[in-house]
Amino acid sequence: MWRKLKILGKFELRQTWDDKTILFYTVLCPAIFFLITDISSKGHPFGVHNVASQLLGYWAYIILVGVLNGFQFGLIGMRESNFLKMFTVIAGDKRLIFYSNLLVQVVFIQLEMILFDVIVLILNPASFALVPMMVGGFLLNFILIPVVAGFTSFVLLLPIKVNLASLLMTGYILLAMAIINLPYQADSLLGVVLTVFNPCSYMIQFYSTGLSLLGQLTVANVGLLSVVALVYVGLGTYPIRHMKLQSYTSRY
Amino acid sequence: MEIQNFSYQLPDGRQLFDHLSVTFDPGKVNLLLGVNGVGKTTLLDLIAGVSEQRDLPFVGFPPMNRMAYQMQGAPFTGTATVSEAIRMMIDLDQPGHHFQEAELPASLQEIAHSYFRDLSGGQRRLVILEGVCRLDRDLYLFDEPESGLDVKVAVSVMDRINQLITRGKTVIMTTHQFHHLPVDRVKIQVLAKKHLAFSGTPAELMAATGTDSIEAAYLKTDA
Repeated sequence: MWRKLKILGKFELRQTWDDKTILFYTVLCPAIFFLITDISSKGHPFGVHNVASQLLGYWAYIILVGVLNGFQFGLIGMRESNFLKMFTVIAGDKRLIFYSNLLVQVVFIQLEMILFDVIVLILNPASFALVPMMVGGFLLNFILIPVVAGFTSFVLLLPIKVNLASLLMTGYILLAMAIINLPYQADSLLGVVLTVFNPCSYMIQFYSTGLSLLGQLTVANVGLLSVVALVYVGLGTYPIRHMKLQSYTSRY
Repeated sequence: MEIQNFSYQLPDGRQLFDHLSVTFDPGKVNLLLGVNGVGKTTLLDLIAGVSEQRDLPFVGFPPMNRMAYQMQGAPFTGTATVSEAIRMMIDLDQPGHHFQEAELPASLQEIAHSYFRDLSGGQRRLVILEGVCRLDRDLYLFDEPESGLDVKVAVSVMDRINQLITRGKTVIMTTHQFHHLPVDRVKIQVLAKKHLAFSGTPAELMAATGTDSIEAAYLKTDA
């Protein structure tokens, strides 16, 4: 199984690398937004308070867009072109395609994250104080990306075409990002509900807890994050077993 | 390998098979014949396990990782080169075999570094056929392998399929090309009106229809 995952991973990495348009959404867009904020705030893009927590919003965006575009849409695109069917028979097992794809997206999103952090450091040298946090975030991403893939795996079961999926997901990303700006306490009922249902809220809580930011390291918080992670990773296996291999747009 | 009393409806509600029973012989080319839309490709999809249908009354078929399937549309990712595609397929299937481009037939060596997106439909099909024939599996499914190919290339493809039979493999195939088949190792299954209209050897089909070629015999069936 590992040998096949390695071969498929290498193959898919080359294909992912060939299509660099995703970088526009995951690196260039946040970088441009950061640059504009940097200019408009006269060199204080993160504001003067909660500097670190501002960076988390960018990371949450990069992961969500990376997982949706690279992993979920990648699989939907393969399904609609009927390549998923072909690829599954070649690999001999549907799970291999999903896991190798996820593996590739972890690598790719981590590269995007590093690239974005480097841009932040170049544009805002005062951010050098955040380097240890960036390293911590990088390590946490290895857990977080599969969890977010589980969060969003419901997309694979929807009987939708690529164009409609893009539209729906643009709305989903906007909503998920907008919600993290709601004024709520992490340990309030609203905070718990959002942590359970909104991947961006979950990511912010996960980073905050994992990096011991904002004084949120409590047993209840760690417990909630762990349970949600386990539930979504577990739920994520359902679409892998039940996602259609056949296109919704073309019978063959 | 058997399909027993199988009924199937398309998502739009059309009944494709009604209590269909078919037996495929091992070590032979099992030809699936029938008019367009009769369900040949659907049946291949179901056998390959790429359909969402569960709990099928299919008995004796190998698991998916022991099957190879050439699909009608030759779907493949456009961002892979011919060489990358074949290498990936062989690496997955045959650990220890280090694929060299020199192993490719001359017609594919010329396009070894071309991307799938830049190939013609016929070239894509040829690459997939090459990859599928190189896989070491027990059951091979071919969906109109000769379609879209030049006559000479189509003959070479049929030769590749014949080689699979000489290696003791089983083939289930839909085709409109009846020449160059290993007639003594062919079993014909004709699908018509949701059922199996004929099952037997080419000689039996020709005898039943009073003809002297598979093509003429097929044209005389109820399909």
